[in-house]
Amino acid sequence: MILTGLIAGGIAFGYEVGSFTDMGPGFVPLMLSIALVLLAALILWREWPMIQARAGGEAAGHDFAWRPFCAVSGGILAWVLLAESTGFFIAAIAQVVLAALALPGPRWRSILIMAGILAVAGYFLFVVQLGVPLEAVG
Amino acid sequence: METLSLLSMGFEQALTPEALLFCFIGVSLGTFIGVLPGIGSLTTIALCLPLTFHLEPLLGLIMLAGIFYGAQYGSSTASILLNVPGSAPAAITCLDGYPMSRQGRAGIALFITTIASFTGGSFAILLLIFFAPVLADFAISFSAADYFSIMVLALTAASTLSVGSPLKGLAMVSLGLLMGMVGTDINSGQFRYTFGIPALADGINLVALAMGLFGVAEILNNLTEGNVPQAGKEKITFRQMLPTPDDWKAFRFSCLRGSFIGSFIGMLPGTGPTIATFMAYAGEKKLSKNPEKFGHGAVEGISAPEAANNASVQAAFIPTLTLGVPGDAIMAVMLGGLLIHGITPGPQLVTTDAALFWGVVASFWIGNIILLILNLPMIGLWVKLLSIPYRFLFPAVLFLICIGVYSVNNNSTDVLLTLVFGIMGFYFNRHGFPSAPLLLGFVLGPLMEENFRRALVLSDSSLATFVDRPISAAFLAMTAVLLVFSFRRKATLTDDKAQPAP
Repeated sequence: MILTGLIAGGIAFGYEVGSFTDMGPGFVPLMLSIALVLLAALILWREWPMIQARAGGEAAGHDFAWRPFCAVSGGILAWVLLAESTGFFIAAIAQVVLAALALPGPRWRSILIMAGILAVAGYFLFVVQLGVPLEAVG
Repeated sequence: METLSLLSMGFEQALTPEALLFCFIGVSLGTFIGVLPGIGSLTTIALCLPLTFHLEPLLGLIMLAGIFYGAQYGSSTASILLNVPGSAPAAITCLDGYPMSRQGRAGIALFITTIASFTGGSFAILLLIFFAPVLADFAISFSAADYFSIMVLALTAASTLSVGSPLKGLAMVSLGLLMGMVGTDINSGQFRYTFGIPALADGINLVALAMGLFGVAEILNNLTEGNVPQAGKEKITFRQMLPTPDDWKAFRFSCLRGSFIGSFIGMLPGTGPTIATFMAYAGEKKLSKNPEKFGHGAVEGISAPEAANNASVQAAFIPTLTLGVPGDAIMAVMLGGLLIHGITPGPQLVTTDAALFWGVVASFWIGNIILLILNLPMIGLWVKLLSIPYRFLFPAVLFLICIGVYSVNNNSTDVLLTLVFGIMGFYFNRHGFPSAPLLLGFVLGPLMEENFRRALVLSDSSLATFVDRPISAAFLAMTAVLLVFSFRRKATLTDDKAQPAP
C-alpha cells in the first residue's frame, strides 16, 4: 500500500477547493460543498494516526505498477488523439496494441490479429450500423 | 383481475419477435460477462446504453435488464469452478461452491445455483407484479418534499450499508451529488462547474462516468494488483448435474428463505444484491442444525445466497420503476438510461406507460426462462468461456469502452473524461472509497435539487415542510436511525474484505 496519508490529505484539499469554486445559482452546490469539506475533514481526522504510521514506512517501498497503468491510459489517450484525425482503424489498432502492452511478454502476433479483428468488427457495428461519424482511414 | 389483464398485455409486448430477440441478446450477454471474472455487469450495461438509444425504450430496457439479471446467473459459475467470483454478489458462493467442486460435485452445484436463481427471480417477479402497482398508487400522492426525503434515505442507505467505512461512503455520495450539479442549471440556465468546456454544458456524461469509475478502474485494478484472473479448464456434462435426494432436501427451504430475504433487501432503496447474499448466507448458517458444514460444500450455502441474489436483482426494479429512486449503482445507470429516453420513472409510469411497465415485467419472466435453458443444457459452453485468457479480454473491453463512450455524443472529450474518471475511480478503490455511492449520488443529484427547491417554493422557503409532512418526516427519521446505527455498528463489522459492489 502506498501513502494513504498524502492521498487522504489531497482529497480533502480537492474538496475544499471545490467549495470555493461554487458559482451561479449555487445554493445547493454550496451546501453540498460544505458537507463534503466537513466529511473529508472527519475522515482525515479519524485516519490521522494511520496516515502518520504509513508516512513513516512510505519511503521504504513504493512499488506502484506503472507499466499497466501507463499502457491502459496510453491506449485510451491514443484513441482520443487519433480517432478524429487518422480515422477509425489506426486509432483502434493503436489503442488495442498499447493496452495489451500492460502485461509483460506481449505476444505480438495474437495481439495484432486481435486488434485487426476488433477494428473491423467495431467498424461495422458502430460506423456502418449505428452511424457513428468516423472515417475508416483519415 | 385487472393486474392479470395488464400482465397479459405485457406479455403481448414482450413476446414480439423483436422483444424476444433483445431479451435473448440481453440475457446471453449477461451470462457471458457474468461468467467471466473481471468484467462487471455495470460496465456492460453502461457500454450497451448508447446502443439502446437507437432502440425503442421498451426494447432497450428489456435488453439492459436482461444483462443485469443474466449476469447474476452466470456469476456463480466462476465462483464454483475457480473460486473467483464472476461478480461481487457471487463472492459468497465461493465459500461453499468451490469446496463442492473440489469434491467433484461441481455439476450439482451449478445445477442448484441455476434452479435457485430461477426460484429467487420468479419469487421477486411475482412480488413486483402485485406489489409495484400498489406502491405506485400510494406514491402518487408524494410531494416534492417526500421525494427529497426518500432520496436522502436511499443515498444514506447506499453509503452506509455498503461494505467499508460509512463515512467514506457519505463523502462519496456528496461528491457524486456535486458532480451531478455540473452543467446547465435547470432553474436559471446558468452554467455551473463547466470550466469553459463545452462538452460539460449538458452535464457530465453518465456513460463516461460509469465506464470510467467501473470499467476502466476495474481493469487498472486487476492489472496493477497483479491479480489477473486465471483461465480455467473444466468440463461439465449434463449428466453430472443431477442432485441427489439429500441435496434436494437441503435445497428446497433454503432456496425459499433466500428468495424472501433477497426480495426484501432488493426492495429497500440503497441496498444491492451483495448485501442480500451476505445476509442470506448468514441466515442459513444460523438456522442450520450443523453450521460446521458451511464452508465445506453445504448445499444451503449456495442455494440461499444465489436465490437471494436473483430475487434482490428483480426486486430492485420495484423502487426504481415506481418511485424513480434506484437502489444501487446499476439501477442508477438504468434510471439514467430511461431519463435519456425521455421516460421519467415514477408512480405515473405504471399507469401512463403501462405498456412499457408491464412489457418489461413480462420480459423478466421470459428472460428467466431463457436463462434456465441457456444455463442447464448449455452449461458446458459457458464453462469453456472461462478458458479465454484475460490478456485478450481487457484490451477488447477497453476498445469497446472507447468506441462506446465516443458514440454517445460523437465526442472525444467524453473519452478523455472516461480516462480521468477511470484514474479517479482506481485511486478511490485503492483507498477504500466506494465508487457506487458516487454514481448513485450523481444520478440522483439533479432530481434531488429539483425536488428540494420545489418543496421550498411550495412552502414559502420554510424548511419545516420536510418534517411537517408525515411521509417525509418518516423517511428522514429512518435516515437518522440508519446513521446512528451504522456508526455504532461500524466497530463490529470489519468484514470489508469483499470488494465494494461494482
